[in-house]
Amino acid sequence: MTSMPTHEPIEPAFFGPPSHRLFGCYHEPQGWPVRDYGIVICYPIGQEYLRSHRACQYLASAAARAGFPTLRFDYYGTGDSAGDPDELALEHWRNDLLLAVEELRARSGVGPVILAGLRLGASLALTAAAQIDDLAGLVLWEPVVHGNAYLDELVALHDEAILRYFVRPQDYTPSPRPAELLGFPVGAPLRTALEKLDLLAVPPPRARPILLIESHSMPEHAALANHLGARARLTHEHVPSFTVWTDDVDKGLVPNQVIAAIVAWLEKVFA
Amino acid sequence: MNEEAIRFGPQRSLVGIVTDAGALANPELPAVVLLNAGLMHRVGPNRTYVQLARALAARGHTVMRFDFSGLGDSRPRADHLPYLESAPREARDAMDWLADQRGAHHFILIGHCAGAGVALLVARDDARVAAAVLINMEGGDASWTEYDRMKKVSQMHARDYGTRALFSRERWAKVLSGRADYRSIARVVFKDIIWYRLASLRFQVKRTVVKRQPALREKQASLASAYLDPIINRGGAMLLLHSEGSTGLEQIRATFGAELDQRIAAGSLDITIINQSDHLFTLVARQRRLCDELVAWVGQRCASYATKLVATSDDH
Repeated sequence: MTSMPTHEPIEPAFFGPPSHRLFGCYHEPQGWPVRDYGIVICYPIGQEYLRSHRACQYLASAAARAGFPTLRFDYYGTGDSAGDPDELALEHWRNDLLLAVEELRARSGVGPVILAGLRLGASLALTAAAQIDDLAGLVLWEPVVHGNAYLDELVALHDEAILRYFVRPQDYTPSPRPAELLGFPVGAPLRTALEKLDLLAVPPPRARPILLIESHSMPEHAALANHLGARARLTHEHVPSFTVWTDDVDKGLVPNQVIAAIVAWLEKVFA
Repeated sequence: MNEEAIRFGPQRSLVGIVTDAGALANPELPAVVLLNAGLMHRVGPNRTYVQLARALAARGHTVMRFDFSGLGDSRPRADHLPYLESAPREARDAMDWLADQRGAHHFILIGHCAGAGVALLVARDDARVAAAVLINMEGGDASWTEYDRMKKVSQMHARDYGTRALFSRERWAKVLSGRADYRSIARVVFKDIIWYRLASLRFQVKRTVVKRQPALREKQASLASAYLDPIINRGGAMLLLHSEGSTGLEQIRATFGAELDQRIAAGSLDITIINQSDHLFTLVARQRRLCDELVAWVGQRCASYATKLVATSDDH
């Protein structure tokens, strides 16, 4: 189902207050029944956003074809949304998530909402969950559990990318916490917020269904599963696939198995 | 700054963003269309298309970035046209929309990598195109692609060994204690560094020999006449913008030979090199340089193009 190209109507639009315009694409639900639950897709950030845009678009399309009104959107300072990269901030993005939920409800008329995030998008979804009225559930796709480890990972990839330059940049000095990572500035507020990010310290939403899905078994995901399972109705799935957020965009890869597993879970839990 | 999300094209299946500076938008200036870099969606590599769109809009241009069918948010085409036919057609759809909705008469096409190739094709065929900016355009035959790959792999490993591995206490400890993967080291040194370097040098030597043959010069003249002259002859301009050391520029030089230099000398074609940059302008300072260079070139060429247009209309 998910490997097919998308043909459902997509409505691209800006929303939010004039000083804080966000870009989103609304996927109208297709087929029957149209579900009473809406989905907001939460992208990763930076280079991971660029590389997984296609996968998130396919996920939104597949969810819409399963009858869920779905909205994916760019956080402030990212993608097509207003703002500059040096204004990036984790706290603002959580507020953007609330605006996106309002927008989805206004467009579709749904009440309960599911947040589905990939990588840092999943972390944002979990940390914003307590602020969402009528949250129906969460999909956490390869969430970033510890911000510090995430930064270390990005720094290693950044240094590797610089090494591949045709002519070595003389103005670049490796640093454990550079001011930019893989094409995007990382200002002090964002860096500090990421360093403090620890999903194991975030209270899980009580009694809500959560899907934690991963393609490569990671100890931090196992720890997160233990943490979430204590209060929420957790499903922890392992679906082998590739890491689309680090793969070359020009390969055009879409992790269809993972998308199919997510949509199957949504259909089963939110029938 | 105004930004509007639109759907356009015969089936309204193409998605784009139009940026302008509201009351400061100057309808006399050419509108700008940004064309997808490979499979990356319309925000461009490291969001450079968004930066460029806003910078050019701040100078009065109306700018559209959009996704070709099947990329980003645009639906795949029902007629399954191949990319080299569908992409130029959709670039013209974008120009038609800007002409109908914003009154644009002339256009500047900007494309990165594969998008640059599309910009060149449309600039050749559509008289409304006043200028084309070709960023890190690559192409050519399969032997070039292989040469490019070998050169990059060889450079990368040579740099890694020359600057990191040789001076890494940790790596030496692994080698001396028997914990290193000796087969992998041998493969990198003998195949990836030495063999690939020799193979790419052999390719360059071959190109140098071929370069002297008269048949090649005739072919270069014919290609320049087919691809570069149509836009130049109608008073337009072209900018080739490349990252330093990119094989794309070598390819273009090999394709057009001395014909390229003649057109540069005549002032109708420019080449700008962004020093110490990669193909995607990963470092933020290089993105700013790309944006500044491009905005300055567009400003300068637009002034010159407006003068030529006035002169042409006076002649008539």
